[in-house]
Amino acid sequence: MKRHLRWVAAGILAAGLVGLAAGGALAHKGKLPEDALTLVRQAAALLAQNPGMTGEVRERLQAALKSKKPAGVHLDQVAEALRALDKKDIGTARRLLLAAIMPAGMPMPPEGPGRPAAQMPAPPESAAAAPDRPPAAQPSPPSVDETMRMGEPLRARFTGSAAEVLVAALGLALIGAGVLSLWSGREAGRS
Amino acid sequence: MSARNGVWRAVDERLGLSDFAYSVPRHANSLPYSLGGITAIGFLVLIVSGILLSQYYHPMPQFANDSVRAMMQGVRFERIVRGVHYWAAQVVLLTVLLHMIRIFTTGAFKKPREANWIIGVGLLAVTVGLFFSGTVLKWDQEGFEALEHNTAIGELLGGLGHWFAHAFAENVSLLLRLYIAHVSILPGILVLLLAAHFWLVKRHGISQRPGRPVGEMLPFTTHLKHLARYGLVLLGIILVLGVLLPPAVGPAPVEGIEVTKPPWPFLPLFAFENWVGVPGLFWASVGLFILLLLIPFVDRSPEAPPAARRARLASGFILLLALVGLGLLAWLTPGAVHVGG
Repeated sequence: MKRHLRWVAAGILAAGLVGLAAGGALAHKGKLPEDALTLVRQAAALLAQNPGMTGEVRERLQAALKSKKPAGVHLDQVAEALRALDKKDIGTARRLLLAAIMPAGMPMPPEGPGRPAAQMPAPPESAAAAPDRPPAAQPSPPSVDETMRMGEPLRARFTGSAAEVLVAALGLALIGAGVLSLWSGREAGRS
Repeated sequence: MSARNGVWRAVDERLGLSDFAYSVPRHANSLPYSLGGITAIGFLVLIVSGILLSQYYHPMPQFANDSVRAMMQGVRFERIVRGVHYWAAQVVLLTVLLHMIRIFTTGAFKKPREANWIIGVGLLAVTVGLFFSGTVLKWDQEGFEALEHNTAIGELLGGLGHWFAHAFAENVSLLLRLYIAHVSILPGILVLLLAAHFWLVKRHGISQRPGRPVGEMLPFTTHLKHLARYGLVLLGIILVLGVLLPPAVGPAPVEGIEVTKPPWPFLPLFAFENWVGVPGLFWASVGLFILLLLIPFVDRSPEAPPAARRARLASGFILLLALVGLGLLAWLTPGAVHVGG
């Protein structure tokens, strides 16, 4: 009986811990930004990195549509993205969101927490300013497709290139040599 | 006298290499007692791969993420080097923790080795700092959110956290300062602490196995050869993992959202943060390090055999299990918004 009670107590404790941790997921929500551009950028990033967070995305898009600072955003495309989200068409929603903010330019990473987005430095005025390079041509703005691709995690895979095969073979050879050497010198590790 | 012996004598006369042939017990060659040496080899791999990576990394916020993505898409060895650096960091953190568990279990922190245990805790802190700053340097959403947490803790600390505030150096980005910490400040502290750690290991000798006689002694140079064998296996494993399982990198960060969970060493702390917010993250970390520092002062009995320290060992392992459990809990529960948001 006592044993059963112990298990019940452990179960209640575990359930409590899980409940607390899950509850914590909603416990520390902050304030949403006021400008539509930031809200839409955040929504697009959320969709790219965690498409399951549609609640957060919807909340931001609705706030963007009602925002008093709509500069740099095509709100009609945001509304269309919201409709695509209702149809669970995440890809289209993301594409529309990026198209909606493209007039504001390619989103740049922030300088740090609480800091504005980084500013791309102006290209050097003459070749003398960057002696190791020819004068740079003005870069063309990226397409929506390119922006979509850059907004997704880059997952590298083993491609089987000569360099990879060579290094993997070297690694296996080192493991083999090390294990053999440890085996032959095992007396040294014994006492 | 052969030519080889002649050269050796000439070199030894000048460099005193034979001083390294001092005696160590044979059990120093066993795997549990070699974990510290294996960790040191892991640090060497990290230093070499880190120097190579620094040739391709751009520590400015507007270029950092792009430079890492370029490495991942590079046709040369950059991607492999990054994989090696990433896996070496995982392995080193794991071997540091295993090394500390071995020290705790065998009571090797007891008199007269208390100071070396404290230096070891300092080394753990620096290793965690290097792991953390390395995570931020990718400048993807995970790295950015990690930095947001750090900035929030800095604010919590007021004046003591000033280094993590932008006001500390208005014209230099926090990322650049963190990069400098990752490649020079923290490695510098690491080298100093390692030197002190090794010196004290030599001074006090390798600890005895609890409840067993010292046994046969061997020259330290034989131990170094044995460590080199473990090092070959370690390097091989890191190379294979670096090629077969290269680490991903997320997109450039967007401020004000929180979509990622921290890397595995920080997951137990994430659970505390889920409960009480950023202060939980801070106080749990502080509490954990204070507990580690207190171990030699709480467990002061001269007996080292595990049978004589059952209660103290059990407390340590319950704490460890609780941390693993909290980590699993944080891994299984949904992500949460703690900062920014």
